[in-house]
Amino acid sequence: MNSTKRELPFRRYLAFSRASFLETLTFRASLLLSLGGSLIYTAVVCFLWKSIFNSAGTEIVNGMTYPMTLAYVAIAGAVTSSMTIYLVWDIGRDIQSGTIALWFVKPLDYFTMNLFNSVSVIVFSFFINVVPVFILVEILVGWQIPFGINILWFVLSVFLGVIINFCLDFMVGTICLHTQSIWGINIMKEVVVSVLSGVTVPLAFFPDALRQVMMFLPFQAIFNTPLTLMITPNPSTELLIRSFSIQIFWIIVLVIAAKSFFKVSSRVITINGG
Amino acid sequence: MEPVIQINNICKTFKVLNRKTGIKGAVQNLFSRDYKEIKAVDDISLTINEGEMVGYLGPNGAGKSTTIKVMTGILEPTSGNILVNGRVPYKNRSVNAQDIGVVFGQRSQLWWALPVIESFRILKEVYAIPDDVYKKNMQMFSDLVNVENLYNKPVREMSLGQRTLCDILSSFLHNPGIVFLDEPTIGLDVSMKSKIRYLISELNKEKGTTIILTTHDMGDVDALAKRIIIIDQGKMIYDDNIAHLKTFFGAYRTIKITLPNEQFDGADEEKKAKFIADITSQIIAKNEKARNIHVSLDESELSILVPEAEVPLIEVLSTSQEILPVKDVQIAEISTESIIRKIYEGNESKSKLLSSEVKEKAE
Repeated sequence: MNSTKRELPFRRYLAFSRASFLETLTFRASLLLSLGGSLIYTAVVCFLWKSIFNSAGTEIVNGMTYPMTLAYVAIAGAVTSSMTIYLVWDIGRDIQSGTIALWFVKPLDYFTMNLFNSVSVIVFSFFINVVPVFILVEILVGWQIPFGINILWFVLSVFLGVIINFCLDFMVGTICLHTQSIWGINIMKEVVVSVLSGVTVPLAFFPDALRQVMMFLPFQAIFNTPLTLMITPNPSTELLIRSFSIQIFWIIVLVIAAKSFFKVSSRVITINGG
Repeated sequence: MEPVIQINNICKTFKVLNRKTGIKGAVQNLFSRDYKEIKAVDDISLTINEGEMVGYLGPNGAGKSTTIKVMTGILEPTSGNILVNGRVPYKNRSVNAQDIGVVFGQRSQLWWALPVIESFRILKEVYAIPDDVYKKNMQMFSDLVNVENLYNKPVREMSLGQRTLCDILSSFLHNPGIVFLDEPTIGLDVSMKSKIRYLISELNKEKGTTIILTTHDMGDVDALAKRIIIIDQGKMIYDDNIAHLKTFFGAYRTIKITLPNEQFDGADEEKKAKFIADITSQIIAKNEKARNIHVSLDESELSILVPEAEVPLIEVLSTSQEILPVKDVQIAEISTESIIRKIYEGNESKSKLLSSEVKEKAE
């Protein structure tokens, strides 16, 4: 396994990125619908947060202005929808139908294969969803969101967030090897991620104690970190270093965890049959 | 010839929960620790040489797929030794995977939404196939079966036959030493079956690929396999060439009697079964030695399988003529299919004979 990998690092996996990209392009309608959904979501959160800020009566709530909040929430929504690629269902289906056996007889690492499969779709879907929503938000708030180096930090940080999210999804999918069913667990995961990562409500709005706890969990590194970097006009070097090192820390931990969990769990197949 | 697969005394046991039924039972199942062990593969030993084409047969649930999964490295055997291409497959799954091809007839390894040529391109990367090998193989595929016109068709729009054809081709793309074909002709029409058989046999000849073929279609076996291995209930009950199987059971022949057409117009299964039982007992009544004959009915054709070692064919024929309105008669050599069926149906004495013979050979 290792010897073949050393000859061609990741080249064989790039074919999967290409294939899943092509597959996504095949289903044009679903791309447009997902964009439509993101735009409608933006409109909804726009009105929601406008009325929250109106009733608060102040310009700044919990240290965030209305434009910042809207940008945070709307773009979080768009990023979520580009990250929603049903990886957990795919893995679950592979396991339930036994198709996973077909991957076991190929000279591939299942984790890496899925990672390359997912990333290209997400990157593509990111441009389809996030760019239009960003423009819409800027129009709604009168171009008050800074547009400069912060966007670069945001994109970089989203990319790291994608990998963290992938690892979590992969682990949840792996649970299917033990339970043969994935529905409930996945619903639970989605709720936990959407609350604890700051997608539904920005983390700044959480009570202090809870926020402290959440900062120690991997979920906030998926959405809160990139979005905070985006709405901060002049991030300090310290903030940047802290944000990225926390993300990289979680990537290292979760990649190791996901791979070992899968390795241990695939014993279920090798011992008890597919 | 080099042995490419060497299996010694492989066993594979699965732990299965003793399930109870009903609502109460289903709740109990949640907490139950009451497992029973099922022996899916029970002490199988075999050697397969390079370039062989082996038919691997057995009734549903006999343990065929389990053995295949052990050989491909998906499953780890409970006990016993296995070497495929000189490696232990479950320990070196990735390396082993580079040298084998697998087709599961009921699952496709092709990319559903993409034109099939894209799947080939992906597999080229997955197996790191050099350009010249890839080109040569693609050329060979189009020489064997005319498939270029399919290349741009998305897999999901293909017929089952076209998809299977492409699946088989894709499993040969990286020049594997061994290809496992698990029921490749399942659900296909006659002409597609023969096309696929032609393809498999040509690939075996031209590339010298070792092929392990599991199937329920005796047509596949007759057309492709020179050697067959039969397992039942996890045990190997036959391992020899196909000709030997026929001579071993050669003492059987079938009398096919055509009855007047109108006799079974509108008759239901029950009536037919009663008729069969009736005829059987009448023949046995008149001819005591004929107690092991097997009668079956298909439309208006009655088949009587006669073990010639016990009773002369001619005697059964004359008895039948007395009790039946015979329109036409035909005497057929036993087909592979009926031999295999006899084995599957648990012809105890024969199975025992066979297995004792296998043991003798082993010794």
